[in-house]
Amino acid sequence: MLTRRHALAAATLPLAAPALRAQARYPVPTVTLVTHSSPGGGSDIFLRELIKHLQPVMGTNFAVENVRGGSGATAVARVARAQPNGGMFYATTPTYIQTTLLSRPEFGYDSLDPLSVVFLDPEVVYTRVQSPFTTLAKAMAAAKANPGRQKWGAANPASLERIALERLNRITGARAAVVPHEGGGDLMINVLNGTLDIGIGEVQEIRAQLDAGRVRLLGVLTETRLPDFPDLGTAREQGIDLVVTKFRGLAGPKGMPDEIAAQWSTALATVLDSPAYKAVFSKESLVATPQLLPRPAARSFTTEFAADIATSLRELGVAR
Amino acid sequence: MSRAVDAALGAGALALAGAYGAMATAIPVSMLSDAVGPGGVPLVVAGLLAFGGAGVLIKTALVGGGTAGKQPDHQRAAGLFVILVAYVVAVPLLGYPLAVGILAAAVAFFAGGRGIGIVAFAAALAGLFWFGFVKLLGIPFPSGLLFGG
Amino acid sequence: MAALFSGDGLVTILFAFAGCLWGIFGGALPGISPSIAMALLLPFTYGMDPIPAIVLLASVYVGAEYGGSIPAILIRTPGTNASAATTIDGYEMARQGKGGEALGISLISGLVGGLFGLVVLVLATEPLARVALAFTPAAYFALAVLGLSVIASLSGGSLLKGVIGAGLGLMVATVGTDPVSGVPRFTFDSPELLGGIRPILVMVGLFAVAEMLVQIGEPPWAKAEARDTRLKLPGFGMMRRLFRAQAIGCGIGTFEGVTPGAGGTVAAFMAYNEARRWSADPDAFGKGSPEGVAAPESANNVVTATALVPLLSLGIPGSNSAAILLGGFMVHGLTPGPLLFERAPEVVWGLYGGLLAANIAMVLLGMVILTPALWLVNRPKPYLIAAILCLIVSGVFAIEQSVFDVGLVLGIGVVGYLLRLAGVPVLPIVLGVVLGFMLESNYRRSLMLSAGDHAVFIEDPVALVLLLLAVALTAYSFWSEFKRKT
Repeated sequence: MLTRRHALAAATLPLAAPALRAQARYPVPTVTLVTHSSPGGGSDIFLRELIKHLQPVMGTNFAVENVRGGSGATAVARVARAQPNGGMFYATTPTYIQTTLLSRPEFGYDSLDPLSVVFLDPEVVYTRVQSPFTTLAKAMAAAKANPGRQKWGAANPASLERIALERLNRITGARAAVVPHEGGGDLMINVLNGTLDIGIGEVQEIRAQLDAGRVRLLGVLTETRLPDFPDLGTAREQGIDLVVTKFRGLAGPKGMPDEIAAQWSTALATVLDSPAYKAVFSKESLVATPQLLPRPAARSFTTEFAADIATSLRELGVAR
Repeated sequence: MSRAVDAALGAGALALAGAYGAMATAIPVSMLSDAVGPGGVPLVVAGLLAFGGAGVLIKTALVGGGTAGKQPDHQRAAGLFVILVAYVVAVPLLGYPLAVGILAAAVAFFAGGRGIGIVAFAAALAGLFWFGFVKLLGIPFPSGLLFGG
Repeated sequence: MAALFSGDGLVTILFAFAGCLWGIFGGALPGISPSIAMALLLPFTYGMDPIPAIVLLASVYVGAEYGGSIPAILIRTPGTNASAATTIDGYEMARQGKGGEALGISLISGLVGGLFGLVVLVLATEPLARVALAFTPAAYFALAVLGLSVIASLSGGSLLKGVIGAGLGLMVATVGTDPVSGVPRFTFDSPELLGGIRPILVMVGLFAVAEMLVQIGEPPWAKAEARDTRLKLPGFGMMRRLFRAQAIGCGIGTFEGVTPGAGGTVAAFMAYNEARRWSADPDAFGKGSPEGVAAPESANNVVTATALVPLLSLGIPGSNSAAILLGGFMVHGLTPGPLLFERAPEVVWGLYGGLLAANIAMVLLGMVILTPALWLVNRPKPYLIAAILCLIVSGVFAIEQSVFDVGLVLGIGVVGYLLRLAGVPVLPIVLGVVLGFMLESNYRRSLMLSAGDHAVFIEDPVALVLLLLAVALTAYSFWSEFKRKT
């Protein structure tokens, strides 16, 4: 779905980061990064790790603020009302777009200006080791052979993963029951005890069970294979035209000068290129997106992404 | 008294069940929905509520109400509620420390406290809470529009 | 800096004490849930060594689950979800001037529960993890039904009013995002309601705000009334009397803690109900029974240890607090799960040691701070009411930095006041709120898995056993109620 971007094709372009080190001083002494995630949650850990590496590069202080509530709407509102002087940004994930589409709050995703898209989170399809399926292709062939018999699980209702499984149903005609859960842990239990035939999630969510050899990866829903799992075929390679991408990025209040945005994209490029940070994010199986760092690219990515989700949600009848 | 209260409870539960049930049927059904649907369980709950409400009404009509308990003072309860609502309205304007101090003083006065002690109490409490919640726990309470927050 | 926080045992014990103290205070503030108290400390653990960091977080959890019962007993304000059951008899005891005794019973029962849970955690993690895995959606549904069956005996005089209460509670639980299709329900287009109404808001509103609205109209307490001014730990005779209630609490807490999602609140209510059923003096329950404090308190402290079973052995957090602890592990590059015991046994044993220290710290700290807490609530009534209300509005705001939530709690308080006039019991409402989501989502999930066939609930062995148990306990409640009346 959120595909067609051929995002990773551009990754081979040489990075101009070190050459641009000689940049102007950052205009504000402290940058506050706002997340809707609670401390210890995905975005929170992402930000705290990122600022460790950003601080020396940008030469300014960083603070992380957890603004919970309203499924992200409160945090978006806080950043949208802030001065556009580079002092406050919101850590974006697909959640802020979905909340906007589902509940139309006063400040939606479009009241912020995307700054950069830093990472894509690859989604994988997995099952328990006792399962007869060894690849996504085999699982789908079995599902096609017995329509209406398989049970698939996604972590949350109306999540990207849920939508992906519904698409999989359409592609294969499997008519499988797509069962949403309350988070990844809940889903994992039902995969492990055999209630579900397959589950879908991010690599870091299933890492513990994967390392222990209790679950098996069937396929990855990216355009190209993951560096950590070179043997794991993508869905496309297995004959299923499905690509799903979550993203992590930053967005700020509208009206921020271009110079600040440029400073960010060079700084982020430098950080993404540093071996220390690479070691951190590759452990989480995150895929860096250097070509989406400049503001115009992030803007069009976000617009396209939002249009894509809006279409999906409308087709499925969840949002008006 | 108690009979009237029970009748009001039964009627209230029935009315609420009706409104809630009507809302439940109006929930748009999406493609992602299951056979039960987002309104299915709420309809059962509405039924349960209606059953309870109707039961209480019938029992009141047949048997009469239970024994009347000791009645709280409604006027004073309403007064306290007004003070609390005033706090909710005022806190974004006045800011947390000032608003909570005024709330403490107002409630203490309303509850029968008198004298300079109230002011000292309110100031101490506002200071303590501000320190605890804002400084120690780091929770961003509203600092108030009046003071440029 | 890192050297200062080395894995030295003494330092770890120090962190256990600090975490426990922080937890008790956090838990005692209504609104600061155990998970929030942990989350607030989480950023500080990033720079620490893994063992002290994880012990610190786990100790906050232990302290907070205990701390919630202090305001539950003293001011009818449950500080945490799980302490709601303690308000029933704890506050009643405090009203009778036996606040010090109630606090002592809750402290020692908490210790009993905490230590029992720790032993279970150390000895039986592996078999209990298998129990957690045996829970399919159908079994979770049955577990929720079992929890709700308690209503039959906790409705006080009128079962019909109990049904209304349960209906109201379940109604509140349906507000928010639909668990299956994701459409917003009953949210009136407000993003604040998209995530649903937190149970703690309902509890604080129904218990505490409603109580203040009633109290404001009553005359000041007479000075002459003999009230406990000091913490009173239970003696040998009392401990013997409480043994059965504590044993029930420990058993139920173990089971509920292991199943992700059920948690301390349901454990506490079920323990309360069963302790009453098997008590030599069931009529004292609700009128200030010491057993009514002991059972839920030991149950929810067992949960602090057994809730770690799915986290440590499967890497699956069963509650918000466990999720934060998971975050604490991840930050230090540790992944809880089947391999943790092989890859980092020292962390697991360090955590066990830290939990032991935290439980001991809980008692020692309790002995120091409970007497001043009693002094605080023995202040003149106008000041006490003012302070409690300030605490409520501040604590509730702190949950999500939302003024909306404060307004919501006040509204729920008024509803609670009116329901009290009408004689609708509070407990069924609370149970409905706590269990509604689990009940609905697992019911619908089960039917999706079975393609709409209700037989799934009796074909799943775990679900069948739990449903039969629910039926048996409900029938027994009606039978004994019937016998008592005739």
